[in-house]
Amino acid sequence: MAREIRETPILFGEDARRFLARMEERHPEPPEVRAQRLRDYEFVKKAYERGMAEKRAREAANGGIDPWFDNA
Amino acid sequence: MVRQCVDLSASSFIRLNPSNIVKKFSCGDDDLDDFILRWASAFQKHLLSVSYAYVDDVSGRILAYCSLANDKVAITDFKDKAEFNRFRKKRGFPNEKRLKSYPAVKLCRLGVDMTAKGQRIGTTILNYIKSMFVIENKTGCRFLTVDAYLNAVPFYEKNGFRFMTQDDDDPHTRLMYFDLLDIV
Repeated sequence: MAREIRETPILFGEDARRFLARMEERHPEPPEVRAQRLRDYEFVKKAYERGMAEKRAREAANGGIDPWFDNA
Repeated sequence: MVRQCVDLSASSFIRLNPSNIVKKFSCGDDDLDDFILRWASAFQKHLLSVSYAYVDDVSGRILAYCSLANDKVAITDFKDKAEFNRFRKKRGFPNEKRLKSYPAVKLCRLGVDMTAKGQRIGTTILNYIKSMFVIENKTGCRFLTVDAYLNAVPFYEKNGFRFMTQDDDDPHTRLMYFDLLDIV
């Protein structure tokens, strides 16, 4: 079986202090990184909208089952 | 395994539902493969996580998948876990001044098929997830958390993740986080 994912721990002491201090700082992404991230977002969003529309159409035509997964 | 050039414009990103059984996927890590092939459906069915897949429209291959769940980051001003537990036993659950938590989303799994590695698919999905939780978020979410495999730590560091704790010495993974306020 796949290994269990560790839970996010409660932060104590120095870890908590460091984490809170980091939360107060701002580390804005460089403009080119931001532009690439937003391009990726728009790209995947379109792929999601298209993919889900096609998936729902396949399910509607096959009694709620997507036959695509039988062939994948 | 032969890597193939992936045309992402001919690919779809879909949300899997419990009846969608993935039959073939190999990212080179047995745990990640096992999850998508055998467990993703059950986790979805019990509302424990939601899985998404990048699929090649032409060949029907699963190029990558990711799995998300709600999480939180809790912070206390106790110096260590022993002091925290003593306080809990003595006074019941700690009051809000001593334990604060922030909403987060956990990236439970992220795997890219061996045939599609090296083409920025993992980074593209990560950029989508980051943006999704600041642009079209339905609830508040401050952090993205991940229990990263050791060999994936450089990938997450490159994508702006930091280590959650300093003395994490788990033999398999490192707990990391990304502050979504950095991209607002």
